[in-house]
Amino acid sequence: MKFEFDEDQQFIRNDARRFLVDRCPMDEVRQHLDSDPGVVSPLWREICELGWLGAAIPEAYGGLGMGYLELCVLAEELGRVVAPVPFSSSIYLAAEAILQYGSEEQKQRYLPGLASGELIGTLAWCDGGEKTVVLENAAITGAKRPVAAGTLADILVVSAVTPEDGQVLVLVDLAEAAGTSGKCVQREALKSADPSVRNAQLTFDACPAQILGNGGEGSGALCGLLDRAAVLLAFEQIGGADRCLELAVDYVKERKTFGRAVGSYQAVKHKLAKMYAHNELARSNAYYGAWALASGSEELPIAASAARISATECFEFAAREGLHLHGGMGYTWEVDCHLYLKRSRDLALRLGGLRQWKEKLVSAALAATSSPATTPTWLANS
Amino acid sequence: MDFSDTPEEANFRAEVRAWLKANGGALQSTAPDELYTEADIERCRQWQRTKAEAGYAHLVWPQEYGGMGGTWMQAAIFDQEERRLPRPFNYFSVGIGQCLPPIMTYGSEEQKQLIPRTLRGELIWCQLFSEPNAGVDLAAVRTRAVREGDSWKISGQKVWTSGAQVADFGILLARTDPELPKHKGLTFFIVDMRLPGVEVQPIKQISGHSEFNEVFLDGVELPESCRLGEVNQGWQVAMHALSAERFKRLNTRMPSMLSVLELAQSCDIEGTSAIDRDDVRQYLAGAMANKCALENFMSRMLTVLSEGGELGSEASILKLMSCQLNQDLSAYTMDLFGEQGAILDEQTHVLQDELYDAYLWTPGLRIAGGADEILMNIIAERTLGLPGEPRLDKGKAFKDL
Repeated sequence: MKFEFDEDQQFIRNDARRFLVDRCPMDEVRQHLDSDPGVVSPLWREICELGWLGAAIPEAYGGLGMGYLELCVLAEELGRVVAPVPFSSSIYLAAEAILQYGSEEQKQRYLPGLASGELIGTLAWCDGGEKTVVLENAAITGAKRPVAAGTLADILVVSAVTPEDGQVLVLVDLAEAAGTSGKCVQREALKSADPSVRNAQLTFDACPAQILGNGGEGSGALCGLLDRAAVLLAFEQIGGADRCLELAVDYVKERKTFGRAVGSYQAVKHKLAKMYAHNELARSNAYYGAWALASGSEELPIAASAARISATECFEFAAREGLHLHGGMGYTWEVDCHLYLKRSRDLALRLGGLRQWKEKLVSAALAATSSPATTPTWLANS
Repeated sequence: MDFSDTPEEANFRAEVRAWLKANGGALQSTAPDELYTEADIERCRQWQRTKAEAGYAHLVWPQEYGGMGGTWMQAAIFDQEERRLPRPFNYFSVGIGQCLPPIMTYGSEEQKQLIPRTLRGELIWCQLFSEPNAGVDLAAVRTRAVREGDSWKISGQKVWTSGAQVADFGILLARTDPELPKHKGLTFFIVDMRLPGVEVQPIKQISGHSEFNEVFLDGVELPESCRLGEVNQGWQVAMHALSAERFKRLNTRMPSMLSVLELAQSCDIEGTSAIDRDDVRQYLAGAMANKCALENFMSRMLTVLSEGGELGSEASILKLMSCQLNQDLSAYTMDLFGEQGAILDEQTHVLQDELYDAYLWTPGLRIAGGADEILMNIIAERTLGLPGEPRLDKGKAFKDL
């Protein structure tokens, strides 16, 4: 039994933490909330140089070829500092989509750019009540909103329907599209819960697009992609939740009322003990997700949903109550609590909200329990 | 990141499985009505003896005391495998889990002779700690131990003593010096429960059963050889007893999530199967995510044991959070049946009895072995490093409190 990150992975964590404390100070995160939505933060370039983007991308495609567990560790560290970078969109979604479902040629062509950071990618999958994106004659028409990193992206993976009502993922190279047919894509920055996420609406008008791979995976491709990303995002959420707990614990140790530390009151202690318990339980489910992702287990849809639900709930609790324990100071722009509160809200909704993931967990569990062979042990234990 | 056993662990697990298959075939679970009956105790005794003969009565303690001389990970593996079988209520767990560890650490060779006898299923133990005015605040015990010549005279009252009605021995915390501050005037003893002056009265619990008791001690005479540890050093010995249970299992009496899902599939609400209702699915998903997290958290704790580490105060998350889940889930599940849910027979559902048993057991478990609030204090102070509450009893003689 070794249900924990190994020594090398811990080493990567320590290194990443040191780097981010130094290079991603909270003041820069704060400034980024108000900055031009079309501009990527200077931190992004530094992260690119460290090679983190390619952690789980094979060496043949310009990555470091480590693996998903290493990527989970990095995700947690980025979450701890609410890093204002398009890491999740470009890596967990765009690069993963190409790696899992793209043709050999598409992998060769786009993965090295995504791994080096020369290209920023994202996944456009939400219709947002606008016209569904339709693929016809190798071009897409319609709109997607919101698209995280949509103001920054160079390449897009877009979910589209075919005239025969089939679901496909297509790849749009925005530089190429602009070259061939001028104004076939419009980007509009959207007012967002967390402005650092750079959400946009993308409207396509006969924009050239290529089917990802042979398109044979259909709607299962999008579903599988969201499962994989949910595990990684859960680590970002847990990183954020743990940091909220640390900030609150540090504050209530120092802050005094009625002649004693605020942290000596049981009402405060019990809240923090619960926060710790929620975080540790969510971490346990995230490990389950990481195991399923890294080992290619069939339990991935279940593990990803469980990881996602617990991580969303724990980050939300830690961000809200952590701010509350800072008193009036917690409500100010200059204290960091709101950065976590806003990121928690954003991450809770990205990839679909709690309601959708809860539904997914039940459906996946019911499907798995149809046979004892596919029933996860934890479901059968009393 | 892996759930699987190391090769050594896998070998051991296979060995245990084979042994359980060969020896545990006839085991039956104890029905609530059979608790503390002669017949059930005898079944448990036989199973304990069978385990002891194979070395499985205590996986870690040395063979000279009846153990196997193995590791805590092996103990956890044996426990996991034994859990798969129906098995009688374990009347020896208080003795082995809490009473014997301080004897192993502080006991004389004569006292240690009780260890192998207990492991073989000959002796049942109880813990004479809590009193009417000393539960959470255990160091406030008032039961007096007064030295008279070569022996001690014990007088006082204990309460919530599980298994006292059948116990052969008890471990006792008593006050030897009320002039000292409360943690410092206590001494630890081993009590033969058959001595004159020991009187046991069962307490009827909310379930209607009587698992625990009041114990009255009226001038019970104990020889010096029954003292464990030094005079007035009883608090340290008691702490050892309370923290001794190294591997904390999820002891919840709650049916599995799989059976809850099956129940929801078979339950009809206004013409629709409960499992097809969105509100039911949303609730069950939340409960499942929590149950899944508790199981995965346990795997993380096992990893600590597997690497030779010890569990810290964070392990109390298991009891704290599983009680919360099970109290809520058992009530919710009964709720699915509407008014019929109040009726505990098979016409409502075959699981009704088990669910209500879990519902009534959980309030007790939330208090026993560290109430919710105490566990949260422990996590806050020991794990998160928050300051303790200001105390009014520190440094004062017990008699002045």
